[in-house]
Amino acid sequence: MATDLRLAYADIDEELFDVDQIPVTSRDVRSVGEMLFDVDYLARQLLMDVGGDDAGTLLRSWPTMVAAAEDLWASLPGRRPGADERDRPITRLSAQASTIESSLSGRKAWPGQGPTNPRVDQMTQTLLTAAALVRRYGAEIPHEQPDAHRDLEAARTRLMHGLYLTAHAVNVALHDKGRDRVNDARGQGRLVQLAQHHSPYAIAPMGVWVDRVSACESTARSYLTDRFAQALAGEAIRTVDDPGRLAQAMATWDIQSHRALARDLEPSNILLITRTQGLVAGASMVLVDAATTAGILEPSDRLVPAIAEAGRSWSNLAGRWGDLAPPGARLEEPLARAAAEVRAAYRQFTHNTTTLATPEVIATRPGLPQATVTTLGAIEAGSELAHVVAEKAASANLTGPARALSRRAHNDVESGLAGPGADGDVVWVSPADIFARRIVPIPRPAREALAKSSATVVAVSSAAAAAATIALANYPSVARATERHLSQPAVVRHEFTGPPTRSAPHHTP
Amino acid sequence: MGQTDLRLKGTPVDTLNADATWDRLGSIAQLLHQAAAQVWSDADEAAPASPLHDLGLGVYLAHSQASALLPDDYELPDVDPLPDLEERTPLQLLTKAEELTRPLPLHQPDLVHGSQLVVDLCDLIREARGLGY
Repeated sequence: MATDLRLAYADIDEELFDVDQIPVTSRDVRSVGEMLFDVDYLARQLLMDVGGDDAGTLLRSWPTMVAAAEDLWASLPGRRPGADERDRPITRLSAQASTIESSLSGRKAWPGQGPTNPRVDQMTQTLLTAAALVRRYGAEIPHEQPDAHRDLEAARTRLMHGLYLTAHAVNVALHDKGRDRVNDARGQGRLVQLAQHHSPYAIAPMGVWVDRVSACESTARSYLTDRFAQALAGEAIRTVDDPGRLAQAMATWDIQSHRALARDLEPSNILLITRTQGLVAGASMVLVDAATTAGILEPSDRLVPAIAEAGRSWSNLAGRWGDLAPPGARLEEPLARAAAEVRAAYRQFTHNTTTLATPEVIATRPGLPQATVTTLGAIEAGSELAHVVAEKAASANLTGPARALSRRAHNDVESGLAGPGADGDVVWVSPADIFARRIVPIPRPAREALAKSSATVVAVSSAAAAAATIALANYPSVARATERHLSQPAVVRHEFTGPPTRSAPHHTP
Repeated sequence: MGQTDLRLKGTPVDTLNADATWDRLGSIAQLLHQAAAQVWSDADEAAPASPLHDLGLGVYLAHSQASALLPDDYELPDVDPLPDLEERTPLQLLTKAEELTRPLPLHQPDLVHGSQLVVDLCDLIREARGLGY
């Protein structure tokens, strides 16, 4: 930049206003803050668009980006002498990326030598330019003053934020790439060579890269969530490849949903409970189908239809509680965390990236027999939970947004779910309340229909629980199937599942 | 300081005052609430095992993340700051929510989980696209 003798816009103001003069300048006039904003923007676009085909280019580009980020970090003024706790995450990230780079160097196996990723390269170049700017003018920054100190902290956060997003994108791409390779191999009737550790993502060599990039992602996330000290102290973050993850998730969900329901609970939380129960039913159908395909469960004419009916009734009830939950309502933190973990644990089995995997694919996943037992247990437990949720429909003080409740009340009367008003056509919610977007008490028809819907959930959940109990009564066959499943060679048992999911990441305490 | 100014020039990144930050988060929460409702509405029309149920729950949990970042005493404005909410598709709602997160001052202690909200929103946008939205 110091030798760039081209004119900047500021140097040629007069020409700017001359309609016959279009000044040509390629000089980068962005501030450091704007450059970091651009890195954030590019990282977001990358994460939204990323796919398996990007995995190789991203892996090759990642170490260079981390090196550029470390360069910028080191250039920021106010660095304290000696080892600083604040700098340890970037130092650790740099070390992790360096080892990735040395592993890639001269490598002939995947990803081998090849092109880098243009988006990551653009981010890298931006970081290098920012570092050069700071080195040139950084001495002018009064870093000891509060405003400047705050700006420097903001710059470090935004820098680490860009690295976190990019690491997550690399991880998503690696998972997708692995899944694609497994699917390709299957399509050609080839067996797949798998890594030796127990992981649904563990195909060689992708499992190793997933582990290493996951470590980078974890380091960046720890800095951003202010948990780096705990991470260094060995705090455990539940791994995605834990075979007991679903069982643990369901046990936690059972506890947290009952704890929440024991209190006077806001409708937004009951909405979460009912929707999560709907998800449990839907995912259970998928797992039961796969378990039947794998020979773990005996085919049953009753089981899947009963669970499907339970799922529909939970969803119907959830729609009604959704009318009572206003935007912006807070959820109980432990309940939301438990629901997020249920979702993530099921996705480990049921999803291929963003879509459901086929029963044949799910049938090959490690841990399916245990997951089948767990999910049937959850269907059994759903019957009791339905009773507790139904009691909430009788709460005296149910309120919700006027517009949604007005619409619901009229629809319920029209569909015969609730009786009409004594005077025929009744305005159940005043137009003034609707116009003013007020929170109003639940109208009588909506309350009646809520009670009926709750009773339906109780009835169909009970039927589903009975069908699940019968299936679980055949547990010895499940156990034998488990042994058969586990004794199969690793080359046919392992499979890729969905993208990396974190353990209830957004509700970290 | 010129180019070394660490703040953005002419854009509201670090110049967002507290009220602007909370209003922005409130709008994000509203967008995500509407997106979850629409995805669930589509899911209810589909099979009980549809992946839309999973997507809807993911969006609702993201809504709860945004809501959790708001101060305890914050109340969403009575007037609708986002017109035509119901006319937008879930993908449009998610994309708008992601755009609104861009200027958030993620370094502030109150927004310590803001980066995870951004990552989850980008994941949800990718997933929504994959499901045909």
